[in-house]
Amino acid sequence: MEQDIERATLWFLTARGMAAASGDIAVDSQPSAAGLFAQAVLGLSEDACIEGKSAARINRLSLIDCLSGVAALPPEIQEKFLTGALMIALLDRRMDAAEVRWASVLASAMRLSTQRVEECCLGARILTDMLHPVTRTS
Amino acid sequence: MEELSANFGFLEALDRRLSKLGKQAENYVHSDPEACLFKLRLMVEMMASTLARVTLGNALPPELGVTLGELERRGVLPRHEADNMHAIRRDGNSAVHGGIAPASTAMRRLKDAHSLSYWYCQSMTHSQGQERPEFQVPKRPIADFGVDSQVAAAETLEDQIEQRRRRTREALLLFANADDRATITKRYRDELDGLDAVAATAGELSIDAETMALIMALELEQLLEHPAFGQVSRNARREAELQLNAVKRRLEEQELTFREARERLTNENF
Repeated sequence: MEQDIERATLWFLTARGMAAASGDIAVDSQPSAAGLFAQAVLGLSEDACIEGKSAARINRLSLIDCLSGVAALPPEIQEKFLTGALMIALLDRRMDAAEVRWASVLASAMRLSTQRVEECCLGARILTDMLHPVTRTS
Repeated sequence: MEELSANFGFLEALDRRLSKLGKQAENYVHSDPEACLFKLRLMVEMMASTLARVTLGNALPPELGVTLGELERRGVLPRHEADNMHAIRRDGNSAVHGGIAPASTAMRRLKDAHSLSYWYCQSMTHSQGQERPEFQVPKRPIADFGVDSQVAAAETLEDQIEQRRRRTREALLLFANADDRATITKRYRDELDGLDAVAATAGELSIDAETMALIMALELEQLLEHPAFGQVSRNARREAELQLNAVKRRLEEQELTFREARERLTNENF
């Protein structure tokens, strides 16, 4: 359970980094996609998600901590994390420089090849299509 | 003169139709819970429609669910109020389509509608600080033997379902309700700016930002062509290219800033 909670903390930190890079998404509304992804793709339980993003656990960590955390993940989990982060970036059908930067540092911290990154981005696009998100301008 | 509703009378000055619907819902809560839910759904629809007209202009989405989603995304509807409106919409729809609703469900939604009405009134009149009037439970007709215990059991079950629903929602969201999202987001943004500065100063990472932007732009083009968004291929490509160029420009600006800073330092020291 503890490992799941730590993974949930890391995932929500990764997702928050991307939502913050998207700007208004993080402030004006809260996408449920991060939680859906945590449960459906990462296999984390509701309890792990709630505990993982509790202020006591997540607020003491920085994005740099997040980078060192994802670097230590098993490769298959790393790819899932990057896929999820890219999915959040693409939800509004826009690409901001800060989102690109966060994706770039995540992928580099994970030491992924360009081909792996392309595969993650493809997966993210398919998930985004399935979620049928809304644009900022709609 | 018609007596005002105990729970919705304060709406009379703002919108008589809402006040009337609230009173009707109160009257039906024990005798006809489905009718009560139907009236409450109408109330929510009217509130959402007014809020949407004010904030979205003429671009009113056709469905209540979509309207509520859009109002929430734009920050017009706080999370708690959006939850309540969705709950009333859902139970109201079920009642309209023949679903059986216990009086306890109708009572819970009536209470939600009371809280919502207060928030709505505050928002529309831009008034704050007034104390919310206490919800008055409408009197129940004298019950047959055994009915009260059934109602109590149903209410307990309703409470459990409500708690379960809130927990599920809590697990899905990115931030907890009590989190100061603006402050946390700003902290992350500052860190991202720092990471940008490091990349400009110390050199790009193994997956450089320009490569990442190109990969993302290719998928973005595919997304924009999706039937739900309906852009033709040429426009989708143009839009993706515009976004890619904007990111590239931003990266070039950072590089330029770094070069200028370095030149300034060199001139100052040598």
